[in-house]
Amino acid sequence: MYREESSRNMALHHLIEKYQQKLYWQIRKIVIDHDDSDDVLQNTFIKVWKGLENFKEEAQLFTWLYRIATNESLTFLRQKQKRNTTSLHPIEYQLSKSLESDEYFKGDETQLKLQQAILTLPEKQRIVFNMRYYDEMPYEEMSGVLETSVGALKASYHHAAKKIEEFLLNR
Amino acid sequence: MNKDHDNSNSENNEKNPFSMPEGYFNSFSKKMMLKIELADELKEFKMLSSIDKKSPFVTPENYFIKSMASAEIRAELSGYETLASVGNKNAFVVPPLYFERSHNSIINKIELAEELQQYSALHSVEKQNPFVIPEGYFDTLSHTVREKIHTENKAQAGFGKVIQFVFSKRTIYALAAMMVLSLGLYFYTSNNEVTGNCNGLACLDRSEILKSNQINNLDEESLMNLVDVEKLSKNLDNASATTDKKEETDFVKENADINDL
Repeated sequence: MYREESSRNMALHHLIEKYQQKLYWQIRKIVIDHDDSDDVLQNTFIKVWKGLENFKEEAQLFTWLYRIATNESLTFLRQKQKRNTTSLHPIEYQLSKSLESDEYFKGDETQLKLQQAILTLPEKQRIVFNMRYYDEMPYEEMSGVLETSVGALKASYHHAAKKIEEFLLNR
Repeated sequence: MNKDHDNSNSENNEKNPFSMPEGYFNSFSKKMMLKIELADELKEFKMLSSIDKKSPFVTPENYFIKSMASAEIRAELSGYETLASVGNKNAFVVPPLYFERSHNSIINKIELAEELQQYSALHSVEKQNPFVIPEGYFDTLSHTVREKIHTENKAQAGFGKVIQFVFSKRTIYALAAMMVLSLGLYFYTSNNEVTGNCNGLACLDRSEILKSNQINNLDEESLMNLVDVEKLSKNLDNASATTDKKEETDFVKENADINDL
């Protein structure tokens, strides 16, 4: 269906309608800010549209979309870090601070603390933790998205949860 | 004898509180005879007779009860012909692989819960999404993305046309001609003072010009158009005047006596 030139636009509309929410939340938990998430989500769908011809049908569509969204989010954060030459702090610290005044963050103190704990994690652990804890994604599926072995993902999740635990208990 | 025994049994019924199925003693001797016959038959086959005679077959649990229930339901339905004709097949379907996925999903949930139990502080936090989005955000996203792609496509198509135009044969020829013109004008305007060592286009020998690779696509008439004939003629006159003057000076130098000056 997606390979037919005439139906590509229609396919794009269906894709957006079907996956926009899942991809949005994946992106949002990485880039934190809504406006940034909006930019990344739009870019993700544009990339998807451009890459539809290269999509291997044996791969799961959702896995492919999730992978693009994750990579786009990480690229965005790296660019944001580069652009921000005035701050000496890592981007995660800035995101953590911005949460306190974010109009689109409605969590109480505990939720804020949990998000700040997640933002102290290294990039990969942060993604693995979000996918497992919030999205409740099975390790096998996550392995397809992140192209990492199930064993390594389990170890990442364990390290992440341990660090969050320490953060929650000690601060 | 049996009959007598049965009769005497009925006679004693009032005194004996025990009873037995009717005709029991009549069938008993037949049953015994059959048993003895079967045992005699088996005696010939020692191995077979050594095996405990039990039925190895079993039925699913509550099979006979269910069969009874099913028979009862059928009997009930028989009073309602139309309803019975519809049949009681399950018309509801589930998505493909639903049960397989639901099984995996349950297993995953159990694993998640077990994982979280190891981290008491994290486990105590209520799992909720604290992030919110502007109202109606998802209603407009598809339109926004498709608009963006459409605009990008248009820009790409425009750029493609420019590229196509730039690299078309006609443009390449036109550019080549313009280059020749520019070169010609450059040489002509930058050195239009005709001297003995003139190297401007106007001063070049026409055969030399025609030998040039850059302009060999131009015909002679086009080349002549490059030259400002009026200016050239003026320059040539000047050159001739200069030459005359030089010849005159040389002549004077050679023939004049210093004392005449």
